Amino acid sequence: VPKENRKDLFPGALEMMVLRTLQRAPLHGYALAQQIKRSSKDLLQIEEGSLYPALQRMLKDGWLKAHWDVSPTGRRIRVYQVTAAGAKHLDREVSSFERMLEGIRFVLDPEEA
Amino acid sequence: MNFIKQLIFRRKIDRDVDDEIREHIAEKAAELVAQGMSPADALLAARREFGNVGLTAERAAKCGAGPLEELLAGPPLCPASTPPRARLRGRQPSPPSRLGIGANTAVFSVVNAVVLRPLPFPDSGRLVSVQARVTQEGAPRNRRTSPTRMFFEFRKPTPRSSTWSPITTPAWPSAASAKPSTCLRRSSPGTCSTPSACRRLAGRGFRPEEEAPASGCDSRLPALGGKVQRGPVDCRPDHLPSIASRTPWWAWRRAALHSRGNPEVQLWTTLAIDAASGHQGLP
Repeated sequence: VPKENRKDLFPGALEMMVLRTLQRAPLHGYALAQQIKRSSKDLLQIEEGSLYPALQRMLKDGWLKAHWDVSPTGRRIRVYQVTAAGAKHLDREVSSFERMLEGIRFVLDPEEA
Repeated sequence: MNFIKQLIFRRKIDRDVDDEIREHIAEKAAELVAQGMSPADALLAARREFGNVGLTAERAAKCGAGPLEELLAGPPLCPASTPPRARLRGRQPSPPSRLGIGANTAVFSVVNAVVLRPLPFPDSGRLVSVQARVTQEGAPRNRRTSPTRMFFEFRKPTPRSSTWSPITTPAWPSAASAKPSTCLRRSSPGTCSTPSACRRLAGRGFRPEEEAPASGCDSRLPALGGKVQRGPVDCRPDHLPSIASRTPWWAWRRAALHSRGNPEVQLWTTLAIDAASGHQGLP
């Protein structure tokens, strides 16, 4: 992605997307990045440079748990899945995000709101 | 014990992250090979797309580390997800460290105020304090004339070959309410015999006989510098600069501290420049 086209997401956006994606199915890092890209219809591309630190932080916070496994292609992979604490955190974050989005919509288009 | 456990834990995180990133790049490269790229090019492209592997691994490891290990590991590399205040709280020093930092700060503040910070005047290294001391017999001791008044005399332009020498009145006024008088005279190098610029100061003039020196310079001249510089002075042209350079730094510092808020110290600065530049006065 060209540097000038890169846009930072708001704080917590990456965690939210990771948690929601892993809630659907446990995945390893590479598959997770690909899945987010596909789900966003290629609009979002997660940089690996920020994905792995975020995964480690979420592991430390107890929102995720991980175990080493072997992929169908024989590759050693570390599979992540959401914990109960992670699911609760995701609910809170999604609710807060929706409120924020609603507020922004009111500002951008007051008549429609 | 906790520290050792955390170090061991950090090593495990390092290993996990390294393995994971290696597998990530290998998987991406395999995908590119499947699309028709050569293995070498595919590996290169996968690495390029991933970015800085070492930095990412380091950041990821720090994000997974415990608070103590995080603190020892240097500047934070883990992107913030928790509120900044919460992260700061984890990095605050322990109470003994706080005490040490506070003590160091206090000591440094004193040393900085007294020693390191230059005086709040331009050219403060050349600062000279000039005060007159009445040496006449029968006069009250330690009475000094106003440095401000002396300053205005000092700052008058003088020829390069002459110098200013402060002198006191030889006779103390009889009236109790009268103030001591001071005259500044312009003299040629090496001589003090003919005051040429005595002026009326503090409401009292000088009689001609008062202006004449008794014998040589030292007997008539007051101490220069008050508390800072005591003793007789002579009339050599380089006298004032030499006083300025001989006066210990702490004396000027002390004088400045005592004179804080006193407008006269501003005048002393200019006086110092006058003195060190050969008593030529300000332009």
